Amino acid sequence: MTVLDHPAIRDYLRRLDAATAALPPDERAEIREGISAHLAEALSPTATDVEVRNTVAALGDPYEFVAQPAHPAPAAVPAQPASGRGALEIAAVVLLLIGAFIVPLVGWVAGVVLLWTSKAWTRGQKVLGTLVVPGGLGAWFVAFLVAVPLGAQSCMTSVSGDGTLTVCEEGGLPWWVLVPLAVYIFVGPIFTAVYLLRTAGRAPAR
Amino acid sequence: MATLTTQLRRGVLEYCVLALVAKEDRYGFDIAKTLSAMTPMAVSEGTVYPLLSRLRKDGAVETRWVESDAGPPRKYYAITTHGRRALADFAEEWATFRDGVDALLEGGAP
Repeated sequence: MTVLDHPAIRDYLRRLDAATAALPPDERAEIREGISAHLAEALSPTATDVEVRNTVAALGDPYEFVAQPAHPAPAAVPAQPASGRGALEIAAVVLLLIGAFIVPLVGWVAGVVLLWTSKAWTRGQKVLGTLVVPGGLGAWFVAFLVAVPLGAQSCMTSVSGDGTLTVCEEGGLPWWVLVPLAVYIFVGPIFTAVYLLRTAGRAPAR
Repeated sequence: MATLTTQLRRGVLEYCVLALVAKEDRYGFDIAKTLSAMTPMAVSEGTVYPLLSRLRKDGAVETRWVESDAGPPRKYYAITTHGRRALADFAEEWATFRDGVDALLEGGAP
């Protein structure tokens, strides 16, 4: 049994880990390694309780010595952002998705306003929420009214002396435009809603 | 009372560690004990380790392992050229700063 198994030392190392949690992983590991080596150097495996506690006391409180002094070090990026997934965030996502049905256009715009007001998402995430897809699920309606006829074939049947003739014209948009567009319009709003809900409060606040 | 010394100390502690290592290569435990034994420094021994980590990251010191008959290998810290330069710069600034403050405290012009 090494001296590092001593309960007072295990507690100390736990406290050290907590105090260094916000540091970059390599620094964190290095500090822990240094302190462990220090303890092994200072104490023999048969160290008494008193010796262990004295050594730990001489090391000092990790929260004290890990506090950043002169160097404006790449300071701890807070793991939690300013706000998490609260009422504001849920309202934003709901309005983005179906706001256009509640009040056409305005409902979705309200969702956008809430989206950008919230602190739970990064700017990049907010841009995504705005562009994918404008109008939310309301975009489906626009799609049916506009995009589908654009893509559809239109067939004309004309009767002439020789018999019936059916001429089908290709739609205005090639398939390699239609398919991504369809994915964007139909899947986009749902993807965005789920994504925003899941990432609310997860990324560092900007 | 404690706060003023703490603030002064924090600004120079890194350079004090560097100065120790500049004279000769040392391992962590040794540096920790020496520094905390210096009364004006009055820092707990653990303070040294985050400092050493940053000094190494900044390239002011480099490390190597040395076999020890007393037990497991020890990690020795050595100053680098970059570290020497940083220390020299600090020494210059510190001298100017110290002389300035001394002069003010004594009430005369430098």
